[in-house]
Amino acid sequence: MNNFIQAMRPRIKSFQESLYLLTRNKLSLIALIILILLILMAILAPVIIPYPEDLVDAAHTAIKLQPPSADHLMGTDELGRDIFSRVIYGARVSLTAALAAVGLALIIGIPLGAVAGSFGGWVDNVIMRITDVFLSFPPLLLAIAMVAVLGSSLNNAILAISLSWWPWYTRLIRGQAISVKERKFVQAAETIGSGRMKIIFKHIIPNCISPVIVQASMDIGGVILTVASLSFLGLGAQLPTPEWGLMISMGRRFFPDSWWYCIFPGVAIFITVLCFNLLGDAIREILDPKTRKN
Amino acid sequence: MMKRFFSLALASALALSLTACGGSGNGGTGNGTAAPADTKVLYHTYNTAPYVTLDPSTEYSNGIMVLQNVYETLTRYNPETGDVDPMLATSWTRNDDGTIWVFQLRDDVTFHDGTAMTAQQVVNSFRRSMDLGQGGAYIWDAVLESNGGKVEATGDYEVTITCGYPCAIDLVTSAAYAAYIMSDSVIEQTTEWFNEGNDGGSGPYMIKQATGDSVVLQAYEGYRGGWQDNQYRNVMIREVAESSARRQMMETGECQLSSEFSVTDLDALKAQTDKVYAYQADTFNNIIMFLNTATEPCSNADFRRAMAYAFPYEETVNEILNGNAQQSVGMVPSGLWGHDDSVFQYSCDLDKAREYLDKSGISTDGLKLTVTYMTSYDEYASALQLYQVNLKQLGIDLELRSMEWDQQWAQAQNTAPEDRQDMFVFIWWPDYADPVSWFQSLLHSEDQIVYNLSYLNDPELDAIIEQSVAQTVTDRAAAEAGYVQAQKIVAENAYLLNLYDQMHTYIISNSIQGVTENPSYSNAILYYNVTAK
Repeated sequence: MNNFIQAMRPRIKSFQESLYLLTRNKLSLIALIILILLILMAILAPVIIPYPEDLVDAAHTAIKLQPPSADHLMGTDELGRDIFSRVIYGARVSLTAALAAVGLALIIGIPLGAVAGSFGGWVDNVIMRITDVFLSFPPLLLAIAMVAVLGSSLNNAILAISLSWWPWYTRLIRGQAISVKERKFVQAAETIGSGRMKIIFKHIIPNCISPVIVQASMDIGGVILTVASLSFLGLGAQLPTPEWGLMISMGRRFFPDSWWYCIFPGVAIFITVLCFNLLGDAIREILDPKTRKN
Repeated sequence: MMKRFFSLALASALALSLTACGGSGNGGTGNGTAAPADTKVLYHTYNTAPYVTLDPSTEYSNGIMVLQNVYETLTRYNPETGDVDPMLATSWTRNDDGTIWVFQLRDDVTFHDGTAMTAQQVVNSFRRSMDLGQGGAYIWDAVLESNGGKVEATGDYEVTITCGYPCAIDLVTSAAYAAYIMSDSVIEQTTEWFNEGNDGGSGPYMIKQATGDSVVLQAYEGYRGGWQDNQYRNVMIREVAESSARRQMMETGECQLSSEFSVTDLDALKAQTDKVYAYQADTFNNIIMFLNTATEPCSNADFRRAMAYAFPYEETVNEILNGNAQQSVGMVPSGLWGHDDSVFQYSCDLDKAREYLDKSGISTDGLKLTVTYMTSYDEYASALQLYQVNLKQLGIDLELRSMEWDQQWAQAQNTAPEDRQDMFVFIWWPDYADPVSWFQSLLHSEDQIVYNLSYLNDPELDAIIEQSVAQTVTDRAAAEAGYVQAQKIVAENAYLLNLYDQMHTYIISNSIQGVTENPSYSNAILYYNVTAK
């Protein structure tokens, strides 16, 4: 019977097939390469940055606001710190924050959506009405309100973003779960007496996950922007953390004369968000043949 | 050409707005004295909204930028003499102990609604501030009936103020907040009514439009000083948050007056002498860092001294603020009585900081301090990062926490001392030209914490402050000596750090002159004194 259930489940694409589809699109391939480089950069940041002391423990006001040069590829900030070092390290901060926020939102959103879709009735009603309340606020506004209550810090910003983001995943997976629970392999699992929660976690969630993966991969870019926005407003990362949004916030005082202070962290955000969006598009094409162009 | 275009565009827009808002602005006062057609506009941009409310009794923020031009007070502080000059009052006398004050009033003052000012309207204005009890109303504490005081009209143009205890009422009547005189026709009006762009003042300008982030003022033609052709009958004050945007407006000639620029924008504008010039005004604003003396480790005097020696005072003034400030000497800013150059001021000396740290006996292993500051104050953030670097060299981690004011203040007032911050940075300025503002509010012990954010409970200091307050009227020299002594105690014990005294640098179009700021009225420019060149 278990073999029957396995046989009835939709085929999940092999890694090789997915990679082939991903690399077939040049834009996606470039985005993937840049993201891999960014991730490597984030991991190796403490080793590769030219001025590690400039991350937190140094100030050299004698060379403040120097334009880009051979010594300082992206110039220096108002305390004479190397912006290149801080932008590179900022990748670690932004990517970690974005992955943590999206991950936490998925951990909350997926089980709730699956339970709502599978159980239906009053359980569905309660969960969906709660999500409706959260969805009635723009995510950024809700995150700002939460951070205002919790206090300004990067961890609180991540928590606030997760709490404002999970309902989107809940709603998405609930719709999928309603459809999947009528499929034969689920009915077969019920027939052999599998428990409701086992069915949800073993059969329903794995078969609802594709659109969530697409959504999450595209959301990472949005979350990076939200973290940067909160930090820009003084509600996220705190000084002297080299977070991109915070760097732009501090640098805007010196714009346009010291343009490098704002521009380079801004470019870093732009490239990262763009790459995640392109990658999200590519993943959607892989998982949904209907959207595939060729 | 660009400048002319913007001036014409602004004038046209303003003329349209004045026409359009004719039904709301000042509609309630029945004002019949409108300015003649004059499209010359003085355009002043500022980094935040020019007011919180336009209620002359309750406004306790930037609103004095507007109110100082619309309302008048009985007396006005004169920074040249360090004393107050007559304004709506012509003279005043007091009894020996400073509890009874008799003010003689001008008889040629009219309000914007055309009514003449009388002693009763002055009394009603003061009573309104006292009754509402908001904003700066505390300045009338000595006059409250509950404290044995009263204010009464003792003649058509004579007001007698009786205090429950000795009080320098001539200074109180010069206050930037809660001391404005208004017409009886607006006494009963609500704050909302004032915020709609209505007023009842006697100053040279009337409010014609108020939108929250901008205010349009128009000349009051009945002003007793009269009007000259080269004065500006129309003024627009508008919030333009970004320094770079204000800079562009100054460069293109779109606005003629602005301030609060970033240091790089300021330097760039100062170089454009063909378009603008700079005016640097001393202020009574100073930046203070409170040390939490109620809990470890800042309860240790030697530790506090170490903290005081670690702050980069000179670097902050010279490198972060590019010289647009001066290092504080004592709590009372230079120019105000009570200031004394002999008060000890710490300088950045990490060797001495280490010496005091050793003496304190406090281990720096895993020692982490927190400092809170207001989110929008980027200069504090830069200075505190320098401080953070210095403390790191002493083995101490400093966590910077930027907060909205309400959050920052709420944490400071937490009933559990261990949940408060170790250090608290903010800006302070007096409500009127009397050092009592620093001492009574910031240093005197409090049952419930308001602004005593070092959490001091020093009976010696309390006694000195109380004596100085009592002597302010009867023996100013003795009061001043007391305040100097108090400042020496504060410096000796490093209860708080006086970081720097703020200076306001205005960038002014070459086309105008007469811009001055009185340090007792922070950020307020009297537009009546500004003329076209």
